[in-house]
Amino acid sequence: MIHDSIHPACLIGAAFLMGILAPLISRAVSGWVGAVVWGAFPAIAFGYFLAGIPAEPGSVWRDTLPWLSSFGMDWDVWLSPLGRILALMVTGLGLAIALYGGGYFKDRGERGRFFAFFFVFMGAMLGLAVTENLLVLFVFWELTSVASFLLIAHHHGLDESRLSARDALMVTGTGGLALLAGILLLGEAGGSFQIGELAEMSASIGAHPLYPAIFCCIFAGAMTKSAQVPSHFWLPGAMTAPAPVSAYLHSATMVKAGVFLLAILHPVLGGTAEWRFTLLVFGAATMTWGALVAMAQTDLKRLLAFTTLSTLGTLTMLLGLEQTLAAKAVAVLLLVHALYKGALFLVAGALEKATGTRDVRRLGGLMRTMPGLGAAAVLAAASMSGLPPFIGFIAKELVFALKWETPVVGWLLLACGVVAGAANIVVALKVGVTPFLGGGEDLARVEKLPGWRLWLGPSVLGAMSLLLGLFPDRLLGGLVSGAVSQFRAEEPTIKLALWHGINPPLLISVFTFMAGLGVYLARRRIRSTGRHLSERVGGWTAQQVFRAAFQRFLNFAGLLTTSARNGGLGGIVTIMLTVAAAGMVWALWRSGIEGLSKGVSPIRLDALVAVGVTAVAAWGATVARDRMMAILSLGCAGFGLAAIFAVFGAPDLAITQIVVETLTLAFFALAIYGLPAMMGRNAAACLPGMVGKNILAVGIGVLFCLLTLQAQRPDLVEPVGREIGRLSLPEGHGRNVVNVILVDFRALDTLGEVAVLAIAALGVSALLGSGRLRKEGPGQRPVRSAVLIASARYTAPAMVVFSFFLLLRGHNEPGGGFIGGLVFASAAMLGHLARFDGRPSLLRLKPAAAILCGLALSAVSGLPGLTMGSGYLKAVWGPELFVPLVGAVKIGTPLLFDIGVYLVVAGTVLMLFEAMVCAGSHRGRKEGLWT
Amino acid sequence: MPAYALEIIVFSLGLVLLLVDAFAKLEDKRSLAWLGMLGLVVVFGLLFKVEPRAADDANVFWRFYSDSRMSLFFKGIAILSTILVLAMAIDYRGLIEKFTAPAEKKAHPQAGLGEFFALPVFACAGLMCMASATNLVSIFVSLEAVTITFYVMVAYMRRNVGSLEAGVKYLILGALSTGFLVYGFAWLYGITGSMDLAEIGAALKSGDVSPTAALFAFSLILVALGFKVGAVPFQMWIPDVYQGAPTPITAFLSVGSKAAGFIVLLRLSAVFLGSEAVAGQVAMAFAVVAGLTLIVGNLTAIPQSNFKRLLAYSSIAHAGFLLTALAAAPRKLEAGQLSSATVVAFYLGAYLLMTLLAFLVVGLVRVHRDSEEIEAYRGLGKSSPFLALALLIAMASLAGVPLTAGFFGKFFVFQLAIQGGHWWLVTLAAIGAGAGFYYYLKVVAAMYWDDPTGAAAKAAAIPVSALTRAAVVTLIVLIVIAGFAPRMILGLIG
Repeated sequence: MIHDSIHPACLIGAAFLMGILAPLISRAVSGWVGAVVWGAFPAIAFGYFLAGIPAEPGSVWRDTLPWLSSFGMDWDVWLSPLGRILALMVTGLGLAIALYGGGYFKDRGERGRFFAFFFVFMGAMLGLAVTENLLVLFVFWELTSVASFLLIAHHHGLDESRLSARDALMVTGTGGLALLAGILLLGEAGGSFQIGELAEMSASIGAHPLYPAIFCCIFAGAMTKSAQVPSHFWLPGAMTAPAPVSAYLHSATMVKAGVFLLAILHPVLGGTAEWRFTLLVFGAATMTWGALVAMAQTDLKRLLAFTTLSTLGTLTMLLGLEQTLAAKAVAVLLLVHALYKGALFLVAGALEKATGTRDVRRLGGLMRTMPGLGAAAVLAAASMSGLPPFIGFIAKELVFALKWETPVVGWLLLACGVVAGAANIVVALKVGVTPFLGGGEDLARVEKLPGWRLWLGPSVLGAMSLLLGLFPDRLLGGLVSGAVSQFRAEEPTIKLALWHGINPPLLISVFTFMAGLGVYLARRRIRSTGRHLSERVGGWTAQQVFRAAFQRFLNFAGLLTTSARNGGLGGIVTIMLTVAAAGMVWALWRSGIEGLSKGVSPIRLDALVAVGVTAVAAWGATVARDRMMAILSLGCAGFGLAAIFAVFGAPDLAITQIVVETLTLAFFALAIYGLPAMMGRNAAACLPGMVGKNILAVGIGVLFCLLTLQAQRPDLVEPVGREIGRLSLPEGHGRNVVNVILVDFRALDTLGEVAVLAIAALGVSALLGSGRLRKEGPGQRPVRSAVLIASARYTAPAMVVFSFFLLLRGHNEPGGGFIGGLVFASAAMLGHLARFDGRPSLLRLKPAAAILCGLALSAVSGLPGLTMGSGYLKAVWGPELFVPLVGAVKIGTPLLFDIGVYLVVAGTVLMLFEAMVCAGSHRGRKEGLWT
Repeated sequence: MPAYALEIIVFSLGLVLLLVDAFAKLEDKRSLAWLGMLGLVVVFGLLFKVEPRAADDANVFWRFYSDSRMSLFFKGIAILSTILVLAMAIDYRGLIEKFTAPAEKKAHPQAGLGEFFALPVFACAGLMCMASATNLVSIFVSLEAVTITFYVMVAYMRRNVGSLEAGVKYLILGALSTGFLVYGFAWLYGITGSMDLAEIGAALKSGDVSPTAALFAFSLILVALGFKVGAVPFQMWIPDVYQGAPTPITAFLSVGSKAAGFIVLLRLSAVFLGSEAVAGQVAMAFAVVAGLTLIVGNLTAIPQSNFKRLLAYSSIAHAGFLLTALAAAPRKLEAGQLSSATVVAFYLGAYLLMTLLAFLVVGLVRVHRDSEEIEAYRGLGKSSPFLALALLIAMASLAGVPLTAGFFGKFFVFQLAIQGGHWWLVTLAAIGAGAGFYYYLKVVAAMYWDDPTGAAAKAAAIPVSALTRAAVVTLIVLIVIAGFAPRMILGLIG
């Protein structure tokens, strides 16, 4: 068979390739050659799907292309009978449209664009038709939505065109997401994504607790795609697309995708009460609504669009029935509708091209000028009206015959069917007959006769309607019985025939025809009343409701945006604190705060003083309006904190804190140098805001206090650090636990932190504009205090010596490389500020070099450990050395490491200082602040 | 070579760049960026040569270092994004020069450029460390390395008010969030007595630890990391900072920094989720944050008219999807099911490709059209079809159109959420994805459907350098490949 030698996937790939190449082809060819090139692919594909229809309906050609097996996402390809019908519609109509499009779009660029999306769409539709795996099917499903969006927006210069395209994408796209959810759920329930495997599980799926959710999601996807009420409005809106697009996507193929999906999932999900009820209700509503509205339209394409709705409703309703006859009717109606509706859309497009209008009231008597088009129109209209011997007649008879097969729903079906049938007749007459055979006043003139390509396609389609009607069983029997067997487990014998003798369905047909004819003849009178009936419910069309709702949604998004960015820093800080507090309150609430008093130690006076100073100073920093005052208060708070550290036995931390506070103060002073002394009042500092913030601040304070108390609970938190404290002297040869941790136990982390410090220094100096201090010329000397100069002369050198002292004793006593480096830097800064005349500045040390050397030293100090086999940065100890003032110092790699830290810290602080002084002096010079 | 050698190489590469800048007196500092990219490409290649840790290797590094496939994958993300950021920085150098050139007339116009090319390399080293860190201290140190570098880079255009404002905001809020992180770590250390994540996890699992204290630690950590990844309600800094920062840095921030935040979040959340006592609460907190982020991120993106800002909001939206994957982390992994870590890693990989592609175009348009408004993209489809195509693919992928990398990212998240039965998260994610279609396609519509107005109508095509062209083509190819064969990326994650 041909499918074994050429895989269907190749065909789909070829379609996408055509789409990519279309702009180029369009530039290269036109006329006859163009028609052949554009039509070649659909023609070949049509033949491909026609070939090898299996003799016995049950057998289905299957193949699996492995893709993402572990997610159940293999591309399972099948040529199911229903899929074949869809593929034949897609390629057969595609052929007609390809011919037509070549003549319809005169501009090469425009034609290229149309064909690009056209072929992509065709590939996606074929993918939909031949894919058995639902996840892969979803991919094609979404592709058709996107392609449809692009095709609807063909005239993207027009606002209405864009809005319609947007509506269509939003509706079908949202439906697509629902479909994806449904498919994933179905996979959960059934354990597979392959329809064949799922169908075998259908009983357990139907009873699964997820079934209602699965069904709702999948139906939402199908319903939006197939334009069921109330999501139908995108389809009439899509009529802003060019005629070939409407003919192809919005009558024959894409809108059938939803129905198609329901049909192929019928064996999996069908047969339940939910299924029957939902499909019948939505189908009947769409069927009637579309028909009623259609009768009042005057625009050619809208007339056709609303009857398309009606037919889609019919199909949905038929899928809700269980009878074999219903399955037969679905298969026939799918094909029939595509044939006549495609043809009529193409006729409408040609008429618009020729006369410049789509208003049926201004069209008439065109048979003489356009006989070919007229013949096509009449043939298609006859099939649409359900006249014998056209295939449309058979489809209609099948629907009516169902009335006698279904006991309860029969009457509903009959009533809706009559309305829909009558509407079809009215529309068929209006679109297919009036423009050619009718008369009237104020008729549009023919400006340009349509070329052969514009009538050839529709004529073939019309002729097909006749041909299929004459030989239904021979031409369609195989396909239809295959399709029916896809619904039913048993394989019934299906026979299609035109004439069944005079029976009730025939009589109803005659009645329907008379009714339709009556409406048509009275159309002018009905139109005035019909206007009220038209699309509006309570003065609103579904489209308006959707657009208004969508606008509301956008407004809401706008509101959210403005409210989500209120306030600057303060607001964000408030939120972060609040959320953290809420989280902790939530945790506390879960466990209660019992046992708080267990671990509380006796209150000490010195600690209380330190805490009081810190609190007052911190409060002062927040209320100060003088910048300098604020900084000083902040510094005070820092010193208070240092005092707290000292009181509770953490001298290392205390010293570090003091030095850091001092340096920070100095940097702050340099930074605010050029700013006004007073700070402006914060806009958010109005009373209500302040009250709220104060409450929050107190609340957070209390909460953190509670947390700290919680942390004292011995049952909650085990005191840590004892282990390290125990190991410190024997393994680290040091009594200062903090230092031992830094330079030995966790030296690698310290190395990283030192590197971060270096990067920060580099970054800040880059930000402030790197540059070295220049010698100050005469007249550029900053004002300096005599006291500062006098005191610095003695303190600075002493501090340098002290810093070495700190460095060396750090391993056993409070001190270490970090503090030493900070002290050295302070000394150097002091020296610079009170420059000693004629003496070399301590700033001779190049900060960058110090940082690099320090980094290198720290990194290298780890190598001995590596070579000794104990590992990188593992300590290697040498002899003890006696240093005056300091005492015994054990020589070893940790000391080297600490010296590296010392250098990096000193270099970093000096680099920052240099950058800030530099920036300050530029600014100062410009503003004349420096004398 | 062992994995940690890579970080050492990258850090040294940064130093080399600085030294070359200091001593070589380059006339054109672009060669620094080239050097950096070259070095990083070599390191990227070495990534595939990494030898797994030998069983008897007692090196100190392994105490806080993991060389799992996942870590290597995130290292790859870091390196790749740094390379692309440097490529962008070359295109963007004009603006950097404009806003950083020294005041003196004699000074070299590119005086401020050297560090701009070197800092991303240091950040990259930090990101790579973070990808492997399994110890609270090393996590903190590497996080600091990255964040401090970013403070500087965000504010780099120091004569530009927007960039400065962004820098100050990021600095203050970043410092605050770091404070929360350290406090949270302190609690973790306090209750478990260990800095090592594996030991902490074991301690939490054993049930000897008070769940209250564990939740304290979790709340604090969630605030800090929520800030880093841009989760609602800690997302407010993102739009201003993203808009103000130089575009290459914005790209870096939205990819590298976010990826790093997520890998830390993944590691830490695994610790908490492993404990019976708190797993429920932790998952619920994640779900709440994820839901909020999905809705706020996606909806607030809709009204944006500035493209860079739109991408900022979009980064919040994507954080929402990523958090959804975290919230839906399955307790027990079934055969064939993706773990939430894998999903997050895949998503981030896809996000890297499409976001960097978008920012590449944003940077070029900013340089040549002097605007970041969506208005400026009108007619780009005609004037610069190549860039427009690139942006089209980036937007399609960000929106999650099938057969792009972004589709599978979202798909896996949906799958995870549905398998976990998180119905309302699925609903919110669907609304979010729908909104995404709307605001991403807005840009596409401007490029292809709108006629340019004003000066842009006469503007010539935007010149694209060979390097940028290569970068764009690579990204497009990768996006499409990942859209057809996500297995390839998943295979790297392991």
